[in-house]
Amino acid sequence: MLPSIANLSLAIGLVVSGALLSNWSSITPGVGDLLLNAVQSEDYPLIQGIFLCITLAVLAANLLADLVYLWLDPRTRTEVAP
Amino acid sequence: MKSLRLPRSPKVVLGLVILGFFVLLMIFGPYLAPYSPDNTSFAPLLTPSAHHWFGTTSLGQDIFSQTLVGARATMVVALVAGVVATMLSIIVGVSAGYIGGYADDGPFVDVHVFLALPGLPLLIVIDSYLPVNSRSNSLIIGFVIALTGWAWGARYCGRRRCRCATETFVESSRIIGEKRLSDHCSPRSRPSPAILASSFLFTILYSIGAYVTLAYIGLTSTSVWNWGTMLFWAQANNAPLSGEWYWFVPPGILHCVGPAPAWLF
Repeated sequence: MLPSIANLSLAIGLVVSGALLSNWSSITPGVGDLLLNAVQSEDYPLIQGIFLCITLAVLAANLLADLVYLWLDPRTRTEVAP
Repeated sequence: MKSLRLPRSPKVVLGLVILGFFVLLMIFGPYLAPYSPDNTSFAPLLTPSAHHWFGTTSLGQDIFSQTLVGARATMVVALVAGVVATMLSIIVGVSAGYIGGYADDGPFVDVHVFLALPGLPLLIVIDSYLPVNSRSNSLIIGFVIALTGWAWGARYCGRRRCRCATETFVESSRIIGEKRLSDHCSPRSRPSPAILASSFLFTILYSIGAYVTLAYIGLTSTSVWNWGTMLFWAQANNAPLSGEWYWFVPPGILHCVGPAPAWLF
């Protein structure tokens, strides 16, 4: 179970990338569409803002996964994670 | 060269066959193409036949030729990105062993940040800052892809070093008061050829996906033929909705099968 949580925290970034991609290839509107339009119209502040939001969300999700890891495995509470 | 001897399991043989096929496609593909990929003189939207193995696009271009010509750009970008990213990951992963103290969290913070960051949006953001005429340059695109894909390899190169830092003899020299523990760890933390090879293959896997994605959403030059550009034009002309499967299936399957050797080795 613990390795799957470690993998989950790494997979969150990939999942977000995949979600953006599915925005483009289907007609569902979303952040992916917004980002693509911003890139095409060279709207750099919007690009940076979207990337900041995505990054913060992914890092927050990672932090959550790390906390869950700590909660599940007492051994990791004192050691430095490899 | 004992470590380079390959096991003869069917998986490895299959992987080598696929890898060989794609390397041949990269080298000879553009010469084998029966027509120019830009030639628009054929009837539009022909279904696959003996003359046009994969049919034609809505502009009357031969899809088989586009697939063959596009192989080279895709594979060149993947190879460039694989080499650059493996070098970056060795530099970061191993230097973490030299610079880092006992607990080498310092250099690894970067690696972990890059691991956690979503790669695709970062790639798009970096790509959007490139001048338009450099987006057709395979070397530059490969380098940008490497910038977002090196962290996985660095993690594996560095993990050996971390494991070494917690071994008993390092612990005991720390207890008797030695300062430079890197001296004990560095000789043992060189990444093995197997780790390098797998990191290289997985970066290539990532780069093919990343490059095809970039081209598919139209962020590389659409005048350079690669599998992603073909998907871009197929999507732009609503091929998936109007049932022109022969337009997007060949590049789609090839870019899925291309990275398969990485999983088989």
